[in-house]
Amino acid sequence: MTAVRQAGTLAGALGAILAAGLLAQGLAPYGVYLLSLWAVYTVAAIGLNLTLGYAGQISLAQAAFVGIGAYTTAILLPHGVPFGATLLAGAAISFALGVLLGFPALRVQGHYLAFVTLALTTLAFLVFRNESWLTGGVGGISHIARPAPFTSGRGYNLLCLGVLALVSFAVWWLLRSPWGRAFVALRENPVRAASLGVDVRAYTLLAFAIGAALGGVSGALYAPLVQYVEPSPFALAFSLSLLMMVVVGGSGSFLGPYVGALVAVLLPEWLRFLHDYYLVLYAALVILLLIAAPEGLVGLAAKGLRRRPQGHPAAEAKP
Amino acid sequence: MRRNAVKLATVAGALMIAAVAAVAARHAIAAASPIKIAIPAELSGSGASVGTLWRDGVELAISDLNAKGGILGHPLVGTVYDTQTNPSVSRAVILKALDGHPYAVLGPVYSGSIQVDEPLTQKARIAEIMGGEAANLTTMGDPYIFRTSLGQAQTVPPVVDYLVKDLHAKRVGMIWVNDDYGKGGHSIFLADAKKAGLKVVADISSEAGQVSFAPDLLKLRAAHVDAVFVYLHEEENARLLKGMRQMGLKVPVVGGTTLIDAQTMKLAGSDANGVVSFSGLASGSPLPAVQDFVRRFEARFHVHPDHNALKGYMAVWMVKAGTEKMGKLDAHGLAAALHGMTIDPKTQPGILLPMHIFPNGDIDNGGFLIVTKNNAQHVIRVVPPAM
Repeated sequence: MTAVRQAGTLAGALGAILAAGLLAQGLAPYGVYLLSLWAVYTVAAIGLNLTLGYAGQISLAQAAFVGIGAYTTAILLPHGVPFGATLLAGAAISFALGVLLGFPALRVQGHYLAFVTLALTTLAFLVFRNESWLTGGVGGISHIARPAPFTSGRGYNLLCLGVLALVSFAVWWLLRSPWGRAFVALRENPVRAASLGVDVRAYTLLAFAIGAALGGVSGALYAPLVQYVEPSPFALAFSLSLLMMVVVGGSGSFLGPYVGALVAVLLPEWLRFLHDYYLVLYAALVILLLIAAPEGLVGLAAKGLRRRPQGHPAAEAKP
Repeated sequence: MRRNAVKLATVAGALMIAAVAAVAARHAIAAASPIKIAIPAELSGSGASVGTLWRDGVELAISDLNAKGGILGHPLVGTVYDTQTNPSVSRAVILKALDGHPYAVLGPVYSGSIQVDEPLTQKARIAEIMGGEAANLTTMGDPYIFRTSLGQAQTVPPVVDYLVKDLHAKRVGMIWVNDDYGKGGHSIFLADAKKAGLKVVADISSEAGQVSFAPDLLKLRAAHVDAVFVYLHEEENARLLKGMRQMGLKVPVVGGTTLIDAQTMKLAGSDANGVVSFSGLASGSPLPAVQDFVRRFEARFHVHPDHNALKGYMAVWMVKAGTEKMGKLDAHGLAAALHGMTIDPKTQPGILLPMHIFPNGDIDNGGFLIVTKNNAQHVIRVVPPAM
């Protein structure tokens, strides 16, 4: 039954990606771009969900890893390095930094860890801004070319969705493996996990580093999508936004990041008709949502589905 | 009796025809196809105060022009898009704006968003008249991008000239904010100061939002400078000026346009007395047309306009001037019409000062070397446009 449910979640994710791909074929460039942005943010949120939702570690460094991936691609692409190689390089650098940061940082937990990871975000921002010889400084790097044959908006949308599908499958496989079970065991009860022979430190580090690598993948997709990188989008506000995506979608839920990223990308756009008040209402809706469903939208939906069969017998009992 | 009835009927008929003609004339403008203006601006995020005033300036100009019959009889309709001061959102909104086939794009103001938008407006062959001042924005070879104010490369040299010729300074210090605005001003000042024979003995960078300038001012004092060149944002300017007074550091202060901005003067109070900078058109400019704009802007929006509001206002008048030069509505031809154009405020009053548009999209409309005194700007000398 669990295996069926797990296969169902993967099918749900792949179905959403397929639907996005089909939908993009009939949309104007604006809609296609939003769907691409959704795919990019979802990859980053999946990474953070591994760290937060499965390994239970609060990280505010995900924006830094996205930035590292974005700058790696923006810097290497003009030198003729193929996009696939820049994507892997961004993921590898983020993974390595995740290990380097995680090794000392994971000695602390909870909000202490959040502060340590916040320091990395600040440090990465300062490097992006001050090392002008490499990053272009505050002026950033513009006119980033998209890889052939994905140069058009629709073409690049397919690439983003394709990478998201690959990431979805890889993470689904990882979570079904003994590693994934160990991540969940760590989140639920680290002491009990250790007593069962799980190397708490190694697995926590691994979850953190894989989450960071996915941040790098997301960044590698971000740079040619926006075709411009500068330091400010990779500051603390973006880390908080990614954290919100995971929590709103459902932390620790496989489908949570997909839903959370959808809310973060599309809801403000839908509310634009409210002009000056659209972000106020967006913030209010998110707060109300978290009050009503602290387990996130996926948790709320699951709760709704669980309740429905219970209601039937009572209804049927009535004459 | 019958003749009187005929006369009465004739007069009544003539009146009716005149009334119908008047109503038709009034509604002719509404019947003509509207000119769609896209206004991407920073309405939230760190650039909100800047982008909001830009938008208001554009909207005031649209109202003014529509009240006078629009452009070539066509009314203007503006659609505002919030970039959230975020390049990825800016790309989304410019795509949305271009999906609506606008006649021109007016905005945004922050250089990051402009660099994201610029390839898209260029591809769509739509003129993008923006509020950015960073030096690199008009060096990208984009024939569809236009400024609405002087760039940093034009505003810094008159201040360097003042340092050399009026203050006879030899050793100067510089305090600048480490963002795109400050870095642009920093590199231009260093190059110009070197050319002018000035020795920059203290080169101090600071952060946007920095609260205390005490360590920076100690460095400045230790450097024994003849004057200090300040290139910060308004709030930081005020903190620095207050800090100088508290520390008893008395050296002439010159700097970027924000140093003499109304916001800086308001926050710094009497500590802003005597600071000198060069300004293109600013809300404090001593021109009746500018002061009339300020009065009307305050009456409508209940806030004091700054130079960003003026830039947004002039952007719409640039669209009008270019369109009237063509004599027809041609969105793809507007940019070419604007290049090399000199706009005279006698025919386009909203331009306020004669404006020349260079082939790269830079403009020159002259400016003023200004000293502040008692919360007001006083002109030291007028610098005419180099046309």
